[in-house]
Amino acid sequence: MALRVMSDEKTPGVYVVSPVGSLDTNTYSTLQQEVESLLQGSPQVIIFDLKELNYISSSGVSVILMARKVMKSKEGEVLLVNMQPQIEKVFEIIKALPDQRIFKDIEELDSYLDRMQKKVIKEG
Amino acid sequence: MAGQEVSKNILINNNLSEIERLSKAVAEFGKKNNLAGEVIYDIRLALEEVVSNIIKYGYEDDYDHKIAVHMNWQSESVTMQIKDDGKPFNPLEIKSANLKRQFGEREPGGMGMHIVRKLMDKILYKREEGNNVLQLTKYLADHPIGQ
Repeated sequence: MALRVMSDEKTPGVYVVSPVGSLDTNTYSTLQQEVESLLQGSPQVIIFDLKELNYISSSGVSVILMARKVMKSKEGEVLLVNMQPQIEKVFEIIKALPDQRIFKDIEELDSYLDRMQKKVIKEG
Repeated sequence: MAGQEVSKNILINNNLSEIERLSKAVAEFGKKNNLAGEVIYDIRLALEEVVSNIIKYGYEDDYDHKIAVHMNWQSESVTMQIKDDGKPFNPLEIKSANLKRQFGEREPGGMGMHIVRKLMDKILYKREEGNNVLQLTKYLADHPIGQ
């Protein structure tokens, strides 16, 4: 029931955070520390790639909701991708998803990011 | 069925680090009884939410306490009983998290109990001889074994 967290800057200001394993009462602080560290910079987008996350409880959900709240206050965005069915079920129970962008895979996510980037360039 | 474990008792200390041991016991119990993966997940999650609430909010002293978890498998349901000697605490009285409220404003444990209510088919609470006794039941009818 361990957790490893990997994070990577995909493009300037866009970070991919990949929790691997179990996000529960004992491991959520590992993810929280990584997210808080990223938030101290000025990320535009934090992407949680949940491909290798096989378990989540309310403690883990709270970290993602916290990230979303902070990013929203900074006019940034949190995106979720590659959610396994049992993880999606927990988010649906909490109804944390209505206005949350969730992408089924990286290709769909990249397509969205490209569109957003083009929109920024056009409006700039 | 060889290896089947109809019931299992686990005694844990009121320390959040014990939840890992509890989760492993659930996985083992589920595997021995050939429970569906989704059922094992739901039981593990419900027990984590209940037990972590007990550990975080159930005691007003710094002493060690024991929490007794009993799991029982019958052909059509799994029943879990969680017994603790903390202060009177009926988790059913925790208002289901007002999900429209902002994170940080919700009642402690609200999100966890909301999850438990959604995952479990029956929840009963009683206060008995100075103990909180919570019983959770998950019906297996929708989850053929091993799927």
